[in-house]
Amino acid sequence: MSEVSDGPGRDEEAIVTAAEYALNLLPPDEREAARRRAEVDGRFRRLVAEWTEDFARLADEVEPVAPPPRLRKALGRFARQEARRGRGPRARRRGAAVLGWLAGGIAAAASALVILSVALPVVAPPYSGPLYEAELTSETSETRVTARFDPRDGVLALDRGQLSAPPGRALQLWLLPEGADAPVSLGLLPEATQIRLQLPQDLGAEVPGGLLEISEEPPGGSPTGGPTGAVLAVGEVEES
Amino acid sequence: MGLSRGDVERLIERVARRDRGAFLALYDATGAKLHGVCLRVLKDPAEAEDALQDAFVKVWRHADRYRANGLSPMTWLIAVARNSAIDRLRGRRAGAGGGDAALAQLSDPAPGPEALAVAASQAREIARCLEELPDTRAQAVRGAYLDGQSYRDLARRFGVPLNTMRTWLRRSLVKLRECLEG
Repeated sequence: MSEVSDGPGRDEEAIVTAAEYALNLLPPDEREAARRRAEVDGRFRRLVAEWTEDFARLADEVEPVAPPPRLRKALGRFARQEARRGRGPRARRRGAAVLGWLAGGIAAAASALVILSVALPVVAPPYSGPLYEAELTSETSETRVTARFDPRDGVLALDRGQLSAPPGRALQLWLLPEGADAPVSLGLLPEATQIRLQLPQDLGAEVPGGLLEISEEPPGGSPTGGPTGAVLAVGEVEES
Repeated sequence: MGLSRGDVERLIERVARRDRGAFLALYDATGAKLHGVCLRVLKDPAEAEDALQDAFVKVWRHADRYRANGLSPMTWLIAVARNSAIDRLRGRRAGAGGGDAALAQLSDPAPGPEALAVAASQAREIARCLEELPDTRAQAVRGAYLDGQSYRDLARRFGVPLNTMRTWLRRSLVKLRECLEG
């Protein structure tokens, strides 16, 4: 006589759990259980959606506060980098990422013979134009390579930090100019940690806004004109 | 803001197609509001900025599944921002695990009839229904939603044991639901 059917009780339980889930009040294990339940239980999922919608109206009373401008800049950069990855095969996981570049890469690489050299110190005239920098990082490791580019002398200076080639392999640097579909080889990286590359003028003009990448390749460099091995680090060149 | 629901929805759809301009337009239209939501939870400008950034990264990555969740666009955006802020508040790594309700709902690809039901429920007034609850209970619900307070936070605030707090709030949620349905 005490309990009526367990129908309404269960109903109430679903309603309340859905609300706790929408409010983010559940402890981690219950939260995970609720998440799984929402996947398979349409009624529960609807309850969560309804609660979420209802609670969101409480945010009507929250005053908008302009975020600092740097955040917009950071998100713009993030999206540009991501959008580029999405356009090419890099939308997929790194390892297979470079294959699609092979098609367009050959012609580009032919025009991209680059001489690695130690640039002579330049007595620079007063210069107020922009300088550029990039930080090349990896999604899967702590790799961090910094690059600076000075358009006055066309020197790209790299500090490769801890990045070294896998045994029997070489590191090759690539530039994917803004709007381009295939990367251009900037040459193989020498052993040194601090590296200075003298870029020809036409290539130097493509550096700002471009994407720098380092891939691991056979000892003589990529045989195809495009990256063939794993991309170990990537970063966008920005005004510094 | 000044954008209609349809406008925001179209922007989200374009973001799903990796349209950077749409992403920034969406940020321009909603960033300040979502920043307000994060600030309210975190009470710390630097943390709120980070949470807002987390939120927009999630929006970029999950925009293609927005349609499936049956939520209005602002509700979805607010939920993503709020959960990003709460993740930070509770010291969890942003994006770790499947803890984000707004995103978890996206894992079901079929919109189903619930989408329509929710759209129809929008006119319901939660503020009015909260007024029908005793003051402290309404404050607890607001604290949980707006300030991201956990049961532990709420128990401390109202000076009751944790379990009492939970029972209390669960009862209030049932009442709230009855009012919203009514």
